[in-house]
Amino acid sequence: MDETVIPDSQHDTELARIRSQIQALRTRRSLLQTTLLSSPHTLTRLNRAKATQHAPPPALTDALKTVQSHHRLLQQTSHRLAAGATAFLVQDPDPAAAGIDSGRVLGVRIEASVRGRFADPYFLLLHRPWQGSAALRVHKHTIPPCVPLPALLARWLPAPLEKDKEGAGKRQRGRRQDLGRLVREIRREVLSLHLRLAAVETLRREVGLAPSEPAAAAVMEATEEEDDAIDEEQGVEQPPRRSDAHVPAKGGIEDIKALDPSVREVEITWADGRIARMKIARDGRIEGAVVREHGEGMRGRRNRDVEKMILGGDGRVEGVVRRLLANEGGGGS
Amino acid sequence: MAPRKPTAVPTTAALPHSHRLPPSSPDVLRTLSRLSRPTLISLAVEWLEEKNRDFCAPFLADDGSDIESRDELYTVAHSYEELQETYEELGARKGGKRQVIDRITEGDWRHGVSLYQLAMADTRYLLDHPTSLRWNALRLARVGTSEGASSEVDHLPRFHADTYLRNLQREVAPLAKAHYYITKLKTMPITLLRVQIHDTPYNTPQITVQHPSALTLSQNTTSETTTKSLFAAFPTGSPFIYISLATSVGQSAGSDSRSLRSLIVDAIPKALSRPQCRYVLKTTSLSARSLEALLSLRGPGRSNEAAGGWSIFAEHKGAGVGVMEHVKRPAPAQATKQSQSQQQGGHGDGANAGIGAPETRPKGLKRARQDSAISPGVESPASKRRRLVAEGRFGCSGLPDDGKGIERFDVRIEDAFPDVPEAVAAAGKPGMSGKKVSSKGTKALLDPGAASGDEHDEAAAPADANASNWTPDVRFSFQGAHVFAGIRQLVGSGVVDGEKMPGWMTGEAGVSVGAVNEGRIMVKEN
Repeated sequence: MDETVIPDSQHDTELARIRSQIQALRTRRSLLQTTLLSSPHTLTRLNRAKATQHAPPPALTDALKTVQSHHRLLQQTSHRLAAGATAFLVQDPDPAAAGIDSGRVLGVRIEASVRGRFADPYFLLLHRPWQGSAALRVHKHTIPPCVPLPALLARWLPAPLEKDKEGAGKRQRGRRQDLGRLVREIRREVLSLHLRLAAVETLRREVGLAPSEPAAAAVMEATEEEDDAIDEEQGVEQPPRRSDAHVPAKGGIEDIKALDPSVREVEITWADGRIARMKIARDGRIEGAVVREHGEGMRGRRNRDVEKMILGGDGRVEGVVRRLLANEGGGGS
Repeated sequence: MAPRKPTAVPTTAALPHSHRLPPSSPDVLRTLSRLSRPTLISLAVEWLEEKNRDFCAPFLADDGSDIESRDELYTVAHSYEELQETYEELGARKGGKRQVIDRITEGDWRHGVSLYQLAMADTRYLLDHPTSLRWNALRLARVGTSEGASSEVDHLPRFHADTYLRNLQREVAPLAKAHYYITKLKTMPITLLRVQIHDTPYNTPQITVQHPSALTLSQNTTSETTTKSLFAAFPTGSPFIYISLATSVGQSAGSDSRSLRSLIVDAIPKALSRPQCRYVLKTTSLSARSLEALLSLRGPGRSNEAAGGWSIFAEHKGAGVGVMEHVKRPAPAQATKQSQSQQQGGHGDGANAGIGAPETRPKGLKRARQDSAISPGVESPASKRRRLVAEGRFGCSGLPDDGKGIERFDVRIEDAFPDVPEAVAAAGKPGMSGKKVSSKGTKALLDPGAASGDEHDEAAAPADANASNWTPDVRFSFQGAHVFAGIRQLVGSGVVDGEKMPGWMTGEAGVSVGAVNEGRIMVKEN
């Protein structure tokens, strides 16, 4: 952080060592802190201490407060671990929201965990804008647009019929709202999205490609920036950018990537110019595949053999590479 | 005179990529002179790359040697590699950009700069200056579908660049001569389409579409037509399209160009439609300069419907601490209580505030400035509280350097005016339109009542203010580099009361044009 004034390598190494030591100690401290706070005995002892003294010192009350808030957090975490969706209450900070159910907003936290890791949760924030009715409406949400939320809302969270429409709308009964079902459907969408994402990553790993999405994008950006910087300074070093692509992996496969954020289309590129595009259903089934040759003389011709390989087997996206490699090893091209 | 192939056949095909414009044409010069020197050089090197050579062929001395002797200013290169080296050397040296432009137009591309090259140059400019254009965010909506199972299957339009271009071309072809360039941006999840309208067949009698190998477009057709280019950005995996607005610098916005533009804009959803699945473009009341802002509010991610203070949910990382804080935060709850009491107590409170405001405002301002002046380094409890309030109201949004700035925010208030004696209503100075949030908050927005008294631009004549539901025509216009960061700053410095501030001032509606009804901007469903 601070500048080293003396360009002495010995001092530098010592500083670096001390810094890493501080870092390690900090980590250890926070670990110990958490352990201490999480222990059920801590709370009981503190409570007992408070009960015995008639005027508890401020340090004790502070400690008690910390432990209690930590226990709340623990409870929340364990609920989140166990259930795929959890609810919480939020206060709308907008003063104008006071008229709408006094600004109370129901939050639903939807978790998606794939391969033992939790993704960032998705949130659904609902309020009750209709007076005298318990009907909910989505106020804000963080569900990405690749989830067909409008359709799901129309199905499971329809707006109640307005009564002041000179009685015309009263004839037909509005459908009941079903928040539980809505959340379940959204969670299914979200989870299948994450599973598809994970499947593409698995495929990449199977052929020996580097993990894609954010990491690759970051690298791209970095090289771009570097290039710009070089352009300004010297403008000579062009080759590095070219060299990072075209690393042939197993089975001559050059790249596997999702074409859209919802991973409904996946593209496989071979080093010899073949390109396969697959349409993936929501549950990971391959709905269709087109493989086209891009070599000389056969531009754009479809390769039915490879298509059959892709669609064969159990027809799922997870096994595509295995099927391709097996056939390539067995039968040859 | 070069032998010109007389292929003046009326055709509806798109202008080919390799179609060349003479280097002296204003389009070429305008496009190139906007770029900086390093960009020009890297662009030239890119033109010479293998994949672009078909469309960006430079003037090479491969057949005749007589050209060399005629022109000594720029010796004609013999190969692509030689030229590439030349430009890389040029980049290593110091110099002006004029030198590079001259080299391009008079030397290596003396026979003309192709439309593809121009499109690349224009796109480069856009990437270098991401805020050079104003974009309008539109939504692609299905026509005539019942909400239900059918739209659940694939509710997002399928976008395939090649097919899309072909369809678009078919739509536009009878009416305008255009060049299309589509590219995928590396830094953003956006497919960028550039349509350059050169001409309508009904404007100029002769249009010479030439074989790719032909040399230049005849002078007279280019000199009288000014080209208009239009950018459309398709963020991947979202039902939105951003279309650049016509009023960019250097482009005349005559009626003719406007009609051509609307032509393209009309064609964009039609080209995406299929049988049984038609799309129309619908406005989303958002226009901004920065693509980042558009991507965060109308993009493929999670932040579309969680702007302003709700952004903590979109930017949520890991543990649920942020949410807990949101629940426990005392300040907004207090604010809610206050405004609740205000509402329940009728309009009397509002009136009082309105009367009190004109006198107290300067004082409040001064106070705010003073305590920030007294303690430049150390935060006073009051300013810390204000900062926390701002944090609560704006969440992770409205940070000055997040690049997600909206530079213009227009609001119309449709709520009835709180009961105020006429004297106060008349005290508001008309003609003070707009509010700059650049550095110093010139006007205080202590509470909504005072704000509307102070800032109404086009208030209807207060002839009879006896009716309780008198609704003046009050419009606000916030302008600046990053409007919501500005408001956040004003909250932080105490100029705007962060607790009473209405929610639309935090940008939580995610629009740049809106109407406030019952204190909130009503956003259309879906």
